[in-house]
Amino acid sequence: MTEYLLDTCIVIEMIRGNEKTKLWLTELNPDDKILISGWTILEMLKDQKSKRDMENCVKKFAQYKFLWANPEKCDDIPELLIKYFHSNNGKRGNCIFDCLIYETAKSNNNPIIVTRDGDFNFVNDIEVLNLQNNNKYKIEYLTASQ
Amino acid sequence: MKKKSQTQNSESVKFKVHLEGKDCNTNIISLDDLQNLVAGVNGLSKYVTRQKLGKNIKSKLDKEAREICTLGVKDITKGSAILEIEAYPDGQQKLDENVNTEIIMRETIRLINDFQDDESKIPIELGPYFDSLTKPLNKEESKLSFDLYSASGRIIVKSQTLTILSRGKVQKILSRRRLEGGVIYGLLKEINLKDYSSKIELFNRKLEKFYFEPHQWESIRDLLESKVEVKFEGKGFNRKMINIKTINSFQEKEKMTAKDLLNSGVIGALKHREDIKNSVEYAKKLADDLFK
Repeated sequence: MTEYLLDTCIVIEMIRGNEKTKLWLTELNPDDKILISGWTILEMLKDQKSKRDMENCVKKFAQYKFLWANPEKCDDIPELLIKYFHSNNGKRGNCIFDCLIYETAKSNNNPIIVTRDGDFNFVNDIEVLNLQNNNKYKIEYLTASQ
Repeated sequence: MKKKSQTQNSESVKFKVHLEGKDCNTNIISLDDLQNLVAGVNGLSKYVTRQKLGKNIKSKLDKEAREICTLGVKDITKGSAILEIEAYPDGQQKLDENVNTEIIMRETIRLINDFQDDESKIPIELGPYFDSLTKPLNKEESKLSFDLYSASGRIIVKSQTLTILSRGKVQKILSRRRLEGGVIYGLLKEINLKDYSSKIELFNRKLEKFYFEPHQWESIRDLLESKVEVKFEGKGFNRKMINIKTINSFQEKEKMTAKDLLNSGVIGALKHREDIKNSVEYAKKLADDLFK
């Protein structure tokens, strides 16, 4: 059984019903764990355009465990941010949230982070599955910031 | 909407609401019908404005948008009523370069036509507005339609005609908002053997009612005042308890599996959000918005 931690972009694709992302999900072992960070849930709840829909999704997710980073892991975030800026040529992207997702994974037995974004280049001690790198799941119109 | 004796405005448009098949005596329209129509049109036009501006309209701009329309009753004859709503930019501040009252009201009619063609295209949050709008359609013969005219009287667009069948479409939209099943955690506060129901107190002190089968009584009776996990199915007031068990803490939640996610009903829940084209960029936007 494998554990996957979904980046926010993947959760958005799931609730948008993206077929390529759904295909990836259906091909997993049904008992594989699909984990969502509490930060992603907070982001969803701040969505301005579909508040009720988002709240309904969150209510359904809320019956399961959300993942959070351990406070002591969060102490590493400033140092990580500096590494992030260096590895992305100063580009800040989603820096704080990528760091929070990374620390969440490190605090919870290192699940595989699933994303379509290349912004996890700043770390190499965790497995990152970038669906854009697999032709089967690749979304043509989506430009991942690699 | 604000009633106001308004001077002509070059950007104003006229929005006519035709309500037929009602028991309207001469010069009288039911206040309930009037309020519902106004609330429906107002809610839809406000939604369109919000969509066009790409953000929540707040403070002064919100006031401008809210007061965009003024309502006048044009003609009431026995059995029918024509309401004329004049929409105009109210105040000094323009909404946006690309947003004017004609566009807002034209889009409002487009939403009404989309609703009539296929209610599944309509975002859930618009359910209450369509509910208000169609409440006057409570008789077989009642009909409701809308026309949009320019200030000079030129017709811009007409809507399809809504009938009592449109009420069924509203119910379909509203039913999408209800959970069809799930798991909740709380304190078992009440057991009622008269109707075989129980009440669970949630973390926010709200009581939620669940029915159970008589044979489940044995497994429930000892759990009174205990922290419980309840698996249920059904919507609204017809929620049926499938299983109940004690838990040590409300934090004891399980991890979601791939199968759970596929069966959760969450996949495709935002299918109607055509504006979300690039999930990576949208995720960045959500992250930026979180600390605002």
